[in-house]
Amino acid sequence: MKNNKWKWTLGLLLGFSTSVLAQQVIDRSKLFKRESPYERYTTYRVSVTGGLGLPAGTFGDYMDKTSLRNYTLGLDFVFPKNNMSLGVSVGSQYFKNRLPRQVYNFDGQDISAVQTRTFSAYPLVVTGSYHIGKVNSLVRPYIQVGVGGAYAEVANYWGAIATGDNGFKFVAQAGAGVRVLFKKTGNLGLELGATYQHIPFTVESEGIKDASTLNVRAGLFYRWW
Amino acid sequence: MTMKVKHASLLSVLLLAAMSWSCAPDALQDLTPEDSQVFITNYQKSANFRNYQTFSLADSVYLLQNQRTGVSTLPLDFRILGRVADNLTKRGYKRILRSEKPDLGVNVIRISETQSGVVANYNPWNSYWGYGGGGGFYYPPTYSYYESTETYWYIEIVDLKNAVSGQQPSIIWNAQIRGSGIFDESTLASVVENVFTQSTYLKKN
Repeated sequence: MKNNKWKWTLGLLLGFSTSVLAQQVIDRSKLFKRESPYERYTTYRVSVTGGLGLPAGTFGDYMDKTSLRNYTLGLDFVFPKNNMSLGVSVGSQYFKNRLPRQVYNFDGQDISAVQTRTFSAYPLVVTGSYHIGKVNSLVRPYIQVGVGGAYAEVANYWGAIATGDNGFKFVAQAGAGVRVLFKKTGNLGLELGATYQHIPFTVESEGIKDASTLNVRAGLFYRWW
Repeated sequence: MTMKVKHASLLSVLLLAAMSWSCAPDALQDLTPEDSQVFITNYQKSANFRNYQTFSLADSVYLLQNQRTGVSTLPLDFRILGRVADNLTKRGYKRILRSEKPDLGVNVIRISETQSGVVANYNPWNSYWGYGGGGGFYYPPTYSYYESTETYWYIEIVDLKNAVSGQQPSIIWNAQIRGSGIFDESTLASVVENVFTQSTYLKKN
């Protein structure tokens, strides 16, 4: 803050002093109408969101339960003029479904077990967003796409016997949401959104071809320059 | 310059968050011993279990411990043999002596399987005084030797009726009883019964 004051004072002084020498000076009246830094520079935004994870596709047959252990941390470069932002995000998702004891019939085999079906994924993606509305608008809806990789694991425990697969997988995301600033010129705001996440992941024993989820997120964002 | 520092610290925060999140929760923490029990039965699809009348059962439990074998005659072993015989009798088969040429041979085996490995712990706070303290003071990585042994019941029924001399008789049914609490006296009867209950085809009539 102090630093800013100095900058302004210095700017004013410079403005007055150079007005004698050159004409590219900003008038005093215009000076206070200058665009905010968010409109002039590439600025930064960090957001922390969490919420409901909903299994989709073939993954939904395996995981018949939603999850609240679903978090995303995003860091973005926000561009001033073109309503775009570019960033990275890391996520953590964990699903668990305990099925009551049941006899599973296979070809010449019967297994009675309590199944604990789990899925975990830790995606790291590069994201690009397009916002509707100027950078300083109070309410900014956005659409977002992301690609990257994830460490993912499908573990189905029969009693305590683990079956399944894990590995590094490709991740594609597409989502939409809205960011609402708490104050018109503030730094802090509310973020709401939904992201569809696709991870190609084949686990034949579980009939899974892809581990796709819909993540409904809510959280906070903070911007600065 | 300050910007660069900012980015570095932010990136490290991001990394730290990713690392702390990647510790997966223990999915089986709330699993009761009873729920950990798994009953696996396999059967030969071509076998017709109505074609057999009699069975014989050894008077001891076989032990299979990695590469070693043996026999065991603990009270628990007699108890499980009794339970297996009871269940087969209930299904209409008659227990006779091995010498009386039974149609089916039944074995009960206690299998111990050990899995092991080595992991290195690079922990600078973990001091190490080894081999009588003759050596100097140093901090090498310590190695944790992990070993997990699972012991479970295995019951098999072999077809002696159609056995060809000089060849291994074929196994027409087997069962694995795995999990916690399967060696408890109080639950032994029910865990043995479970593998028969799920094998509805295993009966004389």
